[in-house]
Formats: sequence, C-alpha cells, structure tokens
Amino acid sequence: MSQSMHPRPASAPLGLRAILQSDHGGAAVSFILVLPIFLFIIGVLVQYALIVNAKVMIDYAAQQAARAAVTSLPEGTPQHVMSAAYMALTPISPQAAGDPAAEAQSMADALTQVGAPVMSGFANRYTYAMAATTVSWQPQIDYTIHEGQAMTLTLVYRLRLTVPAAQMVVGASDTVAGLGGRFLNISSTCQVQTSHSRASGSDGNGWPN
Amino acid sequence: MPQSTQPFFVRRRRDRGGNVGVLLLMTIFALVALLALVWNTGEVGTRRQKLQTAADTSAHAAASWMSRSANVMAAQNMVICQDGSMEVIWRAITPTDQAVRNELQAEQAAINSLLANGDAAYLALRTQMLQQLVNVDNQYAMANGAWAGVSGLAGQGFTDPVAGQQFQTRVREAGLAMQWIQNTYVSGQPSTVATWPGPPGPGGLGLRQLVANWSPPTDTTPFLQAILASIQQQLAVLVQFETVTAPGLAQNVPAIAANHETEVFTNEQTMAQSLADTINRQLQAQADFYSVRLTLATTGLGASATGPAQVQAPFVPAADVPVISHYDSIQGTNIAIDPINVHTDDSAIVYGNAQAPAPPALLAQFPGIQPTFNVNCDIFEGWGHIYAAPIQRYFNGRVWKDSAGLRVYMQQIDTLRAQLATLLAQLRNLGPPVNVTALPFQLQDPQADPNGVQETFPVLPKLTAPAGASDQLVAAVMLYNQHGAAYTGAVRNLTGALTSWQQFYNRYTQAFAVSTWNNNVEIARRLVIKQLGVNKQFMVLASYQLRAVPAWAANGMSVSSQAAICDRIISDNIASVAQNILNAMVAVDPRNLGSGFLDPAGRNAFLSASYSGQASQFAFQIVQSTATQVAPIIAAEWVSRPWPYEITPPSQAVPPVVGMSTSDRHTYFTILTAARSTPGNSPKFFMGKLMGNSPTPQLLAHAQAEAFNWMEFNSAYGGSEVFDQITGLPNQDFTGCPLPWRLSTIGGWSWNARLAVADALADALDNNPEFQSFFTEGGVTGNDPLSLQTLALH
Repeated sequence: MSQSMHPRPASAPLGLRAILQSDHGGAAVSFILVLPIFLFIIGVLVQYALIVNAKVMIDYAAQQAARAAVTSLPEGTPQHVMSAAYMALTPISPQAAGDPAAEAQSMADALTQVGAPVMSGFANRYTYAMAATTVSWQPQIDYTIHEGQAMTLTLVYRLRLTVPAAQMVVGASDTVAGLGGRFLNISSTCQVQTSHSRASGSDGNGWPN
Repeated sequence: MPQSTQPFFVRRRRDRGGNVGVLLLMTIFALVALLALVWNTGEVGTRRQKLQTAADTSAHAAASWMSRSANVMAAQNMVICQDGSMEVIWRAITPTDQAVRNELQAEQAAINSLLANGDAAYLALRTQMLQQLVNVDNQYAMANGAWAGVSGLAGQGFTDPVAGQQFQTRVREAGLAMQWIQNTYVSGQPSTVATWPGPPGPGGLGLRQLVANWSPPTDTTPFLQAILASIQQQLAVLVQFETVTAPGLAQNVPAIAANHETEVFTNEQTMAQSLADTINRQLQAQADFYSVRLTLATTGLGASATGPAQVQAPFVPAADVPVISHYDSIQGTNIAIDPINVHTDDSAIVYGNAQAPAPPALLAQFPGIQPTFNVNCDIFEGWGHIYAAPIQRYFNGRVWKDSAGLRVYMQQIDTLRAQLATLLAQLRNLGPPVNVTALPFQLQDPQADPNGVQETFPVLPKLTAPAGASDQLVAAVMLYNQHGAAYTGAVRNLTGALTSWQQFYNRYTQAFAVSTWNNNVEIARRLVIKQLGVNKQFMVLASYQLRAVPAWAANGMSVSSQAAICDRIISDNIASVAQNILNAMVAVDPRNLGSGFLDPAGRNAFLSASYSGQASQFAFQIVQSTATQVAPIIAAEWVSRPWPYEITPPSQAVPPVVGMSTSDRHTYFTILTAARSTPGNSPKFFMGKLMGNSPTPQLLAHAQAEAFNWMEFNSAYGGSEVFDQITGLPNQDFTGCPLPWRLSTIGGWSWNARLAVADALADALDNNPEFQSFFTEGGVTGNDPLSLQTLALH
C-alpha cells in the first residue's frame, strides 16, 4: 500500500532513506528475528513432550517395580524390585559413559541368551538407568514374615534433557553415569499389596497373624 | 507485469502469502509427532499392564482353586477322622458302662449285706486295734522290766573293757529308745530328746490318742449308709451317662461311620478329579474378560503336551502310595512296609527279650542270686509303629477331645467317691485322710561316744552280752531281746492297723471310673485307627511317601532313637529287676545291717529301705548294660527303615531349610500362566509406521502362583519340622519322622494362594509346549535356565 502512495523512480539510486523507507525484506527480517523465538518455543514443546513421554515410561517403570515388589519382597529378594525398574527405564536412558555395569551386562547377556531383541547399547543404557534411578518403599518392614501388606513404592528417575536451549528452562546441571548435561528429576508413586509371605505365622486357629 | 502473468516459480518466490501456513503445518506436524510418541508409549505400557493383570489374576485364581481343594480335602479327611472318633467313643461306651455298673452294683450289694448282717470285719479290726493297744502296754511292761534287769547288771566287770563300755552304751540307748517309744510315740508326750521325732499323729497325737480318737462308734450304720448313698448317687450319674449315650448306642455306628467315610472319600476323589476342569473353565472366562490369550503351565502334575496344563490336584488316594520292600536286619527277612500302617504287624520293629547277666560284684556278694535277668526289649506293638500315619495326628487329638465329653460323667463318679472319702473321715472325726508316721528304724544317740561320735542305733537295739558276762546277765539280755522284739513288733502292728483301718473303706472311695473310661477309649482307639489304616479310604498329599531318613539326618536320628529306646528299655524293666535284687539282698543282708534289730518286720522294712538304693544301682547297671547293647541294634534297623514323610525331607540340615522343599513346591503346588495379546487388542499406535512402532509388537506377560500353607513355619502345627530327631506321639510311642499334618489337621485348612517369583519358569517352558509357544511368539526363543532366572524379576 505504501508502495503505491510513494512510488520510487526506477532509475533513482537507493539511499539510506529509501532503504529505511522500503519494506522489501521486511518479512525476512521478521522471520529472522522471530525464528529463534519460534525455535525455542518449539524446542520447549519438544522437550516438554519428551518429558511427558519419559513420565509415562517412569510411571510404567514404577508399576513394573511395584509388581516385582509384590512377589520379591515376601521372598526376600528386594534387588528384583530395582532390576525391574532399571529394565523398564532402559529404553529412555542414554548410554552411560565407559564400561557397562556387571549387572547391566548380565541382563544384556541373559536377553541375548533367551533370544529376546536387545536394543542398541542396552548394557550402557541399563547402566545409566541404574545410576539415575532410586526406588524406595514404605513401610520398611520385613515382608518375609508377614501376610500381604499394602505398600507405597516411589521411583525417582534423573532424566537427561536433550533439547538444546529448552533444557535450560527446567533442568539443572549435573553428571550422571559419566554423562554431563542438564537433568530433571521425575518421580512416580505406585501402591500395591504384597503377596503373602510363605513364612507368615498363625494365631493357632488357622488365621495369619 | 501483472502477477498473474509472471512465471509460477517467480511468483512463488516473491509471493509471501502462505509462509505462516507452512510454518504452521511444520509445527503442527511436530506437535502431532510428539503426541504420537507419547500416545504410543502410553499405549504399550497400558497394554502390557493389562496383560500382566490377566496373567496375575489367572495364576492366582488357579492357585486359589488348588488351595481351596487342599483346604476342603483337609476338612474332609478330618471328617473321616471324626467318623472314626465317633466309632471309638461308641465302642468305649458299653464296656465302660458295664465295668462301672458291675463295680457299683457289687459295692452296693456288699454294703447292703453289711447293713443287714453287720460290719463284722470293720468291728473286728476296731476290736483288734484296741486289743493291740493293750498288748503294746503289756509288752512295754515286760520289755521295760527286762531292760531294767539288764541295766541292773550292766555295771559288772567284763573281760574286755571296751566291749563292756559298748554294751553299757547300747543298754542305755535301748532304755532311752524304749521310753521314747512308750512315752512319745505311743502316748503322745513330747520327746525328751530334742533331736528325736515327736508323736506320729497329726496335731501331736500318739498312737494311744489316735486309737481312742479314731475309734468309731460300734454301730457302723452311718458309715455304711453314707457309702450306700454315695453309690446311689454314682449310679444316678451312670444312668445319666446311659441316657445320653442310649440314642447313639442304638445305632450301628461302625456301619454308619464306614458308609460315611466311603461317601466322603468318594467326594474327595471327585473333587480332586474335577480340579483341572474347574481351573480351565475359569481360565477361559478370564481370557474372555481381558480379551487376551491365556495358557497354564505346571512343572510336574498336569503338564500337558498340547493346550494349557491340566492342573492336577496334589492329592492321591492313600491306597496309591507304594509299599516298600525292606530287609529287616533284626529278623533277617525281607518285609513289606505299608505306607499307611507303618512298621506294624509283620513289619513291626521287634527285638524280643534279652537275658542280662548279673554283674560279677553282685554275684560275689549274693552267690545265690539268679545269674541272669530277663529284660524285655520291645514295646507294645513294636518300636516306631504308626497306624494310619497320614491322619493319626488329628485322629488321636480328636479322640481325646471327643472322649472328654463323656469323661465328664466318669469324673463326676470319681468326684463323688472322693467326697465320700472326706465324709467318712469326718464321720470318724479324722478330717482329711492322714498318714501315721511309721516307727523309725533308727535313732541317733544324744550322747557322743569317747570318740565324739553320736552313733545311730536300731529301734530297739538288739543286745549281746559281752564275753565274761555272768549267766544272770546273759539270761537277762535274752529276756530283753525277747520282750523288746515283741514290744516293737506290737507297736508296728498297731501303726499298721491304724493305717489299714483308715483305709478300710477305700474300695468305695478310690477313683476308678475315669481310668476305666480312658482305658476303654484307648483300646477302641487302637482298633479303629488300625482299621482306618487298613481301609485306606482317605486322601494324602501327592508328596506323601515312604522315604529313607536323609543322609544328613541319619546320625542325629540314630543318636536320638538310641537314647529313646535305651530309656524306654530301662524304664520298662528296672523296677522288676530291682525288686528281684532287693529281695535277694534283704534275704542275705550282706552288710549285716539287720543284726541289731529285734523285730523281723522292722528288720525287713529297714533292710528294704537300706538296700533299695544299692539294688536300684545294680538293676540300673544290669538293664542299662543290656539296653545300651540292644538299642544300637534296634536304632540301626530304625534308621535304615523308610518312614512316612509328608514332604520330601530337606537335602540339608535345618535350619536353614525349613518346610516344603522348592522341588516339592514346584512339582505339586505351583502354577504358571502366560498372557498374549490378540490382534484385536494389540496396542493401537498413532502414526505407527512413521514413529517406528510397526510392526505391532507381540506383547507377553507371565506370572507364577502357588498354593501354600502358612502353618509351614508354625511350630505349633508341625512347621519347623525336625528331621534328625524322633517325634513323640500322644500315646507315648514315638516315630522317626515329622508327623504329617498338611492334609489332616486344623493347620491343613490354612492353604492359600500367593503370587510368587517365577523361579519355575525354565521348567515350565520345558514341560508345556503351548506355554513355550507363547514365549516364542513374544520373542523369547531360548530357554536358558540361568538367563531366565536372571530375567524373571517377578
């Protein structure tokens, strides 16, 4: 519209005024100015989506750990609870720096032995999951001598943020399993009732203590 | 040039319209991709959870059915035991009723006769007692006179001054003792010697007061009437007993019990056979509910070549348990050991009698004593015999509890008799029955001899005139010995008469009804449980078998059984052997302990008391020697024999292994399930191909559950079983294995289902093709047990 109001002679040289008054390239300039912001917003969205995806996986891992707790705690093998969580979190874990942990390698070997598909870098990812995951439960009692007990399991996973710039918004600097970067703690809680212990006693009338 | 006439690409390059749209499309695509990522992740997790839930519930439900069947089986076995117990009670009623009625009626007839004819014996005893008291006084007068004669001559000179001094001391002691007997023991005066006992009766009464106070009126009618009234009350209780039991007695209880036992057994078999079908139908219903594919696996019972495992109940009829052939090292023959009536009848562990030689020391002291003693080395029905082993624990307890109901009537009868005893004592002004202290065998001289020793002397001491004594003194000593013996004999007889008189009506007051009932119950119990074991109409755990004592437990079992066998042989034989030896010792009196006694009764009683310890020692030596020789022989046979173990004994010492072995648990009580997604309910992926989620993954879940008994670890119900020691039984026999309880006791009702860590996965994959196919479809193609154990995280 301004072009039609202030026509410039075709032969006239481009002066600063003219340049300043010209709207040619305005869109490009606007694009260049907006692009970083746009990319940042997109990045934040992507990072957020990845976090949500991780949250879904962490919820699933908490459920897997809780399912393992149902049978493992009454049988006195709490390490199964941790292993179940690590196994579930391996797909979203980056590969840890250095050699994989012995347990991770053992799991990878076991998967190979039974013919199950093993994802690339499984042992190192599992190693990262081991370093990045904490699992705890309440109440802290000896489940090997009790009947079924309601328990609450809490899993906390240290997610490594991967989207440049966007990670600055929510993450904190740290090093996990030899990997530096920005990380975000994501937790999930699951409630289950453990299985009866074989060793639970009785009150003498056929009922458990 | 109008834009519409410019070349398309020039126009597109210059055209800024739609830029935002492109960016918007890219952004939307990115967002949709992110949405798909999250959606697909959630979808897989949700589907896996659903599969896991399906696997868990189906495994737990199957184990629940197994648990229910075990609980019902235990309850039905207990019903069979209750039928048997009912028969025991039924069989015990009539003989008990007859025995008690016969006794009460005999007592009633005797009392009626006494009422009609007078209680001559009782009155005679009273008269005799009064006469004995007179006799005591007379004998005292004569003995005292004789002693005075001796005492008057004791001061003359003797050839041996030491012997003379001893004689004088003994004369003095005789005088002191005689005075004590007459004044304190007979007449109830306080003892003049502080260290000697007081009067023998309650409240400081001497025999004289006791006779006077205890003497009943000459008319015994009140006693007899009290007894008669008590008998009538007892008969009334017996009538109640008969009234209560009449309806039961009128029926043919053994036949009813047998029929019911057969009916219950048939139900047990039907239930056991229907378990697989029940579980399969439930499995199908769950598969439909969750819209997944489900299959079952077991590692032992019920593993199937095709389709889901047909879960078998972990029970078998008792008749199906195999008989074991065994070489009996004692009898030197091959025997067949029944797995239910174990070590009974022809397969009983018996040794027979042993002839135990008398020890040389005993023979040296008593040349006339028998050179060998018979030692019975068996117990009734043989060592380690068990009737109806799988159910006897509950059966015996049930019989004892059931018999308690009718025992109450017998207790009432015995209580009435105890009350009668108190009543009779009251009628005699006696209060509760008391013991009259017997005349002591010896007393201690209150004066010390020249060596400062206070010697102990017999009551009364026998005197021997020293060398050089005058004829007059010798005659006086003879007279003293004669009258002194008669005197102490009269006193002891009076004491005995008082005791007998107090016990005169004991026949009517002694308890007998409860023991009669218990004896008849025990006789019937043995009869019925043996027959239950012969009939074998009940179920046992599939793991129940005759098995060898575990190698690690053999030594402990040997030591334990030897000790028990040895103790039993000793306790069963020591009394009779000791009595034989004691009789010989009293007759010979090797230490001449009885030489100082005047009266034979006192001498014999003193010698029995003096030698009983030594006789017991000899007897123990004889019996123990034999028992320690025989017990290892019996124990060796004991340990070599198979015993009825309800579960496989642990392969190592307990602790740490307690309860059912892993192998038994897997074989009989474990069920696994696998769940697979179907095409219809596989994860529904959003932009699957684009997001790398294609092809649709084959999801798989598995679970392991088991029927378990939480009494397994409860020591009150057989948990924490001890495998290297004998087990005591209520009837005081003992056996060489833990008592079965899992399918026959209250604890046997405590079976329940639990989810377990899948430690049987490898075996299940080996034994169940369909189960294995589920895993293969899910991407698990190898069956490496160690790897599966590593990966079986739940």
